[in-house]
Formats: sequence, C-alpha cells, structure tokens
Amino acid sequence: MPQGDTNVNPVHLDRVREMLFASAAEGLVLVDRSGAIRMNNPRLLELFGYAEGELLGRSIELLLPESFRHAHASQREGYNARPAKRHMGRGRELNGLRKDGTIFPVEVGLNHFTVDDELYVMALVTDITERKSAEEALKRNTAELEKRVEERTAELAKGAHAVEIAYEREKELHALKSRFVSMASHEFRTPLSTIMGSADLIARYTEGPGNEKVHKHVQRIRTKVRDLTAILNDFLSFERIGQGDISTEPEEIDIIHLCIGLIEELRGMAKAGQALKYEHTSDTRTVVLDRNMLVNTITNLVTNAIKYSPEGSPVTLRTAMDDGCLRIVVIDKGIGIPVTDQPQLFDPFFRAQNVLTIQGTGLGLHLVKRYLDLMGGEINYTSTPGQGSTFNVRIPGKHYRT
Amino acid sequence: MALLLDNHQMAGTIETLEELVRVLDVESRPAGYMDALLRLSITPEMLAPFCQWNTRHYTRQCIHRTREHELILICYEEGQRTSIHDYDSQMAWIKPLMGTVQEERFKIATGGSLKRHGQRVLETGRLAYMATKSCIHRHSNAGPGRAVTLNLYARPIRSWRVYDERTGLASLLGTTEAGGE
Repeated sequence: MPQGDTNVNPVHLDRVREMLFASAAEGLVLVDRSGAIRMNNPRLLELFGYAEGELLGRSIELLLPESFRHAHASQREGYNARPAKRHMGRGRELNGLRKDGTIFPVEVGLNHFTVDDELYVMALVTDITERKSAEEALKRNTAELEKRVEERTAELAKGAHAVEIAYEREKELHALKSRFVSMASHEFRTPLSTIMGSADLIARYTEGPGNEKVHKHVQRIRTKVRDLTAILNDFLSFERIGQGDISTEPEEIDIIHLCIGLIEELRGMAKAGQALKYEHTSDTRTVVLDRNMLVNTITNLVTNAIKYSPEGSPVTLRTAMDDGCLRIVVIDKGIGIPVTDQPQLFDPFFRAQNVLTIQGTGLGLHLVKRYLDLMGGEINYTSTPGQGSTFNVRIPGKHYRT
Repeated sequence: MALLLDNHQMAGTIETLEELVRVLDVESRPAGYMDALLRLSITPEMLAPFCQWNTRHYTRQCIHRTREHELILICYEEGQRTSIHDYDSQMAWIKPLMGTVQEERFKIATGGSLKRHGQRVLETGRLAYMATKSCIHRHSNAGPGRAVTLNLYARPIRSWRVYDERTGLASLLGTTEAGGE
C-alpha cells in the first residue's frame, strides 16, 4: 500500500482546523477542569446570543438556567474524575440559557482530551427547539387522538349497549310474534277444518236439483276457507323457516301416489272448467326426500297455476326421475308473469303487477325457493304474459329405486 | 266395461293383506287377480292397521306394487269422495272392505259436456271390475260411517286427470273435453 504525502504545511493544517471549528453547524465549547470556557465557535455565540470573546474565561454554568447550575457544577466534577465520550443528560431534558434570559432546549455531546496533563472537555451543543416543537405537537396530536378514541369508544360502548337492549327487545317481540302466529294458525285451522267439513256435508246432503243456490254458497264458503287456510299455512311456514325451526327428514316417497293425492286435494280450488292433469314419465317412481317440503313445493306451484289461470284453462303437473333427480314441471296457460316483475319473483311478499286484485300473500314462491334450497334443489321458469308459465324444478334424491 | 262379481265360496280364503300380496305376486293374469280378490275376506280388526283417515279428504295407501300391478287401500270418512277422474291403467278391481261405495260413470257428450251415464252401489265384500282406460268415474262413500275399498290396478297408474264437475266442461291441453270436479 503506497504511503500518502505527509509533507503538508503545518500552518495550512491549522487554518483547516480553524475553518472546521468555525463553520460547524453545532455550537462547540471547550472548557478546562475548573469549568472555565477556553474556546468556542461562532455558532455557539449565535445560539446563546453572546458577542465574540464575551464568553472566554467565564464559567460554563453561565450557559445553563439558574436552577441547573449548582447540580451541573458537581456533575462536572464527577465527569472530570471519570471522563468519557457520551451524551450529556441522558434521560433528562437539557436546556440552555441565552444572554437575553430566554431558555431553549439543547442536546449536548461530551468529549474530552488532555494536553500537557491538562484536562479539557469539549461540548457539542445542538439547538433542538424545532424538534421539541414537533415532538410537542406530536404529543398534543396523540393526546387529542387518544381523547377522541376514548370518546368514540365510550360512544360505541353506549351505542352497543343500546343496540343490545334493542336486539333483546326485538328478540322478545319476534318470539312473541312467532308464538302469536303459531298459536293463531293452529287455533284458526281447527275451526276452519270443521267449517270445511260441515260445508262438504251440506253439499253432500243437498245434492240434486233445486239446490243450486245452496251449492253456490257452499262453494263460496269452501273457497274462502281454503284461501284462509292457505294464508295461515304460508305465514306459519314462513315463520318456521325464518326461525330455522325446520329440519329435513328424508323418507322414501312414491311420487305418483303423492301427486295423485295432492291433485285430489287441490281439485277443490280449480275454477270452472279448469282440469288438472298429472303425468309421471319415467319408470322410476320412488325418491327419498322430505315429504313435507316436497308437498309444500308442489302444492304451492300447482296452487299458483290454478289461481293465476282463467276458467276453462288446464293445469298440468308432470314428474319424472332423471339421473338421480326428481324433476317436477307445472304448466299453466294463465296470465303469465310480467317481464319487469320476473327478477323479484322469489322475494318474500312480492306480488306481480298483474295479480294485485287476486288474493295472495306473496309468500308462495319464496317458500318454494326456501324449501328447494333446504333440499338442494333448484327452480327455473319460462313465462309469457297472457300465455302462461312453466315452472321446472329439479331436486336431487338421495337414492331411489324402481 | 264394468262388472259386478258375486263373492263366492272357494277353497283357500285369504284373510290378510300380506297373504293377498303373496298370491298376487305369483298370479299375474287378470283371472288370477280376480280369483284372489274374490277369495279375500278380511275382518275390520285385521284391516285397521293399514287404514289412514283424514277429515279433509279421502286417503290412498299403497299396500304393494310391482311393475305389473299395484294394490291401493282407499279410506273415506263419511261424505268423502274422489274427484271425477280417469287414469291410464288398463284394468281395475274395486272391493269394498268396509261400508258402501257408490260408483258414478261419466262420458263426454257432443259439445264437450260431461254427462253421467251410469251408477252402481258397491256393498262390502262385493268385487267390481272396471276397464279403466278413458273411463271417467267417481267413487263416493255412500253410507253412514266410514268406508274402505281395496283397489287393484294393472298396470300401476302413471297419470291422473281430474275433471271439473261444476260446469261439466274441462279443457285439457287445448282440447275441449267434458269434465267434473
């Protein structure tokens, strides 16, 4: 490794040292063992507001606030005994005292050296007023933020409590409503069943000519009782599904007998000249599904087909087992579903524009969809206003046999 | 075609539905079906476990089914009846096991109206035969008290059509036909 050029003019080096000392951005002050200032740079004078030469020979404590001077003198003695390169006042806030009496925050680094057995301590003084201001601002902002967080937390806690109370009240009301709907449905259904039975018997006992007016009124009673029963059943089902108070209980079902039974039950709803036709179109006829859900699904679809078809308009129900799935098709030639209403067709309580004058709850298709969801089934339909609708249902059967 | 057959004494009376099912599975000819049903004599006590009752409508219980035939137990509360209907099975035998049942026959007249053209009463123990293809009919509990019939269909029913009785008219898939309830 080549040696550097050491032949530099000592006078030139002194000037370089002076320049370094004079141009430093921090205040530099050199004190002797007694604490007397022996040297300082212009920046130190600028920081503390003194003129050139004004500090030389004066005690370093001059640059400290009055309250720190006594302690500083003894600390300085301690430092002289065990001098070391370190930051001054670690963990404490240091302040400087200007000539005009104002105090400002400083950071001080200490170093020492010995010349001809004489100890000198050099302090590097940095004005940290701006940093302190920034820190104070940050503290204030943090405090403000914490205060806001506390306030919002308190508000949220208060809100949460209110929500909890409202939720409990809502639960109580919901339970009350459920009990009422359940009780009302059961309590209404029993007398309705009796009324229907009696109406059937009146019709039976007054058969023959001359009783047309009786039959007309009996039929009116039957129709209204069925409507009311259907409404009660819809509400009860909607309530049960909404509460999750429903479970699937699969059982083996002969789909043909199930559908014939349903058609026989629903025939009383049919309008004048309205024929109901049922066909099963596959060899397999047994499926394992929840009977109640299946009955509700088919009943709702056929009931809608009857309800929204005019007199003399046929309704067809078809079933088939296909690739492990039960397929159900319900076809009517009724009023159809307006195109604009079709997207909401399965929404609860939704009723299409063209059926508002026909009695209904708007729950039927919603319940069908919910039952099919529970059975893992799906539904789609095609409908042309004025020409009729076809609903297609597909439900996977767990297993089936011929 | 409708026949009403007298119950007659013959060896080997069938006294349970289980025994009837075993016989029907062996004998799959119409004559065999008829013979088995004629031999059937079942007490109300033996029948009771198979019956289901509903105050709203009559009930249908499938007792047994094969590809060739199916055996259905139909229970009527007082005053209950079937719809006016037809189905696609070719032959049917109806045997009242309890009570009395009235059978009404209908036909489609000119102009599409539905006209009743016959009726008969089926007493307990009697056996009625019906060639059911396109035979529009209705069964009703004719007596006081409950009624139960055992219906044997060959082959099993796959389609069922209900007619409207109030107007006597029914439109089926665009074709005007006569009808009832």
